[in-house]
Amino acid sequence: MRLESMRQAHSVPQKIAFTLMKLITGTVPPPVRAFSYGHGFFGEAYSACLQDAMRGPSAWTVGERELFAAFVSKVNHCAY
Amino acid sequence: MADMRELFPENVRALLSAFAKPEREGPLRQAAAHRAAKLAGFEGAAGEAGALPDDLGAYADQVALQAHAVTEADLAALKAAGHSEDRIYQVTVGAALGAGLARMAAGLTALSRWGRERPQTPPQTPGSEGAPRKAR
Repeated sequence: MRLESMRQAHSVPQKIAFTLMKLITGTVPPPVRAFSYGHGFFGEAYSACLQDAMRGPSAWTVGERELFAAFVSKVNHCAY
Repeated sequence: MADMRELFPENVRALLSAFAKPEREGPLRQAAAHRAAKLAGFEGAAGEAGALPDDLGAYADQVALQAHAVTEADLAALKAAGHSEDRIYQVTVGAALGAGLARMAAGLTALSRWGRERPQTPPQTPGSEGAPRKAR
C-alpha cells in the first residue's frame, strides 16, 4: 500500500467492516481500501458496477466472467 | 466526460454522475479522467479538460498506460513536490477510470458496429431451404 491514508477507515461503518475483514481473512484487500477512501464519488458506484458485471444476470457464467477478469488482469500485469 | 455517457449502461452512467461531484478535488479527478480517456484513444474526449500540473499529468499518463510500472519513488517524488495523498489518490482514480472507460467504449463501439454489419439472415444448411424455423 503506497498511500498511507489508504490504511485507515474513514467512517464508523468502514471501521467495523475493516475490523471484521481483518478478523475473518487477516487483511483488508488494497482495492477495498481504495474504494472505501473515495466511497461517495467512486467506491459505492464502482462497486455496484462490479457487482452487476461479475454477479448480475448475464449470458456468461460467474466462472467465465472471473476467467475474463483474470485474463485482463494478467495482460495488465495486475495482481488482482 | 459527459460525451461518453450515451455509450454506457445505466450503472456506469451512475458512476460517472457520482464521479462528477465537485467536492473533494472533483475538478482534479475529472481532468485526470479526461486526459487519460483521450490518451487511451477515446476520440470523444477531445474538448473541455481542466489542466493538470506537469508532474501530475505525467503521473496520470503512466497510470493510464502502464499502471503496473508506477513505483514508490514516483509517489515519493509527487509528495516531495507538495502534492497531498488525497490529490494523488484523486488523479490515480481519475486516470484509471478514464482509461478504463475509454477501452470499454472501444469495445462497445466495436460490438455495436458488428451488430449492424453482420449478416441479418443465418446461412442456410443443405435441405433447410423453405423449412419453417422452429420457435426457441
